[in-house]
Amino acid sequence: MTLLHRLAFIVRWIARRDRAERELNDELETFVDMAAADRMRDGATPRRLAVLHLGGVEQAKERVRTARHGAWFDELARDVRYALRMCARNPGFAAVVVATLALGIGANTAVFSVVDAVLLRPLTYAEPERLVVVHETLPTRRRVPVGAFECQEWGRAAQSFEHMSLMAVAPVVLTRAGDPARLEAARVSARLFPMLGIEAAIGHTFGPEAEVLGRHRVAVLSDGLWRTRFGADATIAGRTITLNDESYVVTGVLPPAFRFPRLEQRHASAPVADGASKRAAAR
Amino acid sequence: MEKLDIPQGTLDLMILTILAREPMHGYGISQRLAVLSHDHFHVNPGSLFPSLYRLEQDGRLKAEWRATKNNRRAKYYRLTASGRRQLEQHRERWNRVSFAVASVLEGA
Repeated sequence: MTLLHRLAFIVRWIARRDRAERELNDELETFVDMAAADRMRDGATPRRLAVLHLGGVEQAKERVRTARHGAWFDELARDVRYALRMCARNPGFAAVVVATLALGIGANTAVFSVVDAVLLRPLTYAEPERLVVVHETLPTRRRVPVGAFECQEWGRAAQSFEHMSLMAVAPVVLTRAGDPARLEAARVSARLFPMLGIEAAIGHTFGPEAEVLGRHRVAVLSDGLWRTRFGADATIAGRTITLNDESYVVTGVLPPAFRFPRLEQRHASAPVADGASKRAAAR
Repeated sequence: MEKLDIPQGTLDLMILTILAREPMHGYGISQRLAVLSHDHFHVNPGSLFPSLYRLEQDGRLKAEWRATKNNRRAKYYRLTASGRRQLEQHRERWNRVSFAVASVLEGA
């Protein structure tokens, strides 16, 4: 109640400043006139009254102005006006200051965005603290792609990992869905999505059978791809799309928040299956 | 006679007390204060009006322009319900303070 009252008062002062000033003025004039009339009756000289008038009134007004709520607003306005005047007087200096600030703020924002995304935010997958990326290194070359076969073998032999999934990024060409388009795509182990705790927003991701040769021509679409190329068709599951001149059946669409590392927002993914996988992984 | 300074924080209490009897304009309040304090307190407009404005903003007082007995226009302040509550709290606290101070002085 009190807060609302104060707010209303501040707004009134700002909106009707002239009127408020006039009222303050009238009120103090009245005060002085009444006081003068009383003192005249008591025998004061007009000169003494004038002195009294000048000393008290301006000071009283100033104290009322600073005492009322929202006085800071006037001060702020005064400071802003002063700053603008100074900028207009030294445009060169002002431009240098603005450029310095802009660069500083811009650089900070850019660095922070990276730090925030890379270091501060947890990965948007289930149990991110248990996820690791495994590379293979050779003495001659530092990193080489991991083959599907190795991945399978490591997964079988490793004691410290619950699952091991493969992911290989390769561009594909999407045809027979409007204009041909080059897409980012990933070959993944069928278990990748359950491992990351990702469920499809529409349809489903891959079951284990998707890794069986002959049943592997299935694909999952990202939300971005589904919206831009397929008009957010809710009945997309089961539809056939053409990637690199091969037909794939869409099993599902991923949730909008899902991101693959190193893949842009529009992408498709297909399972790694025995024959196909070797190609994808060896890319 | 030498005037006394109005102790910190008591001006609001005295203004509220005076206005509890009847609505009054700024000059009337200052006159009433002088009379009731047997001329010990003379409030100057530089203290009175900031207090009045603060109390009005906090919703303790409501002001309106009215004609005086002498047919002038003056801004009259009157107590709101919230002002009345504030007065009771203030007065109760003040009674305790003055009782406490008096007790210490007499006991010393």
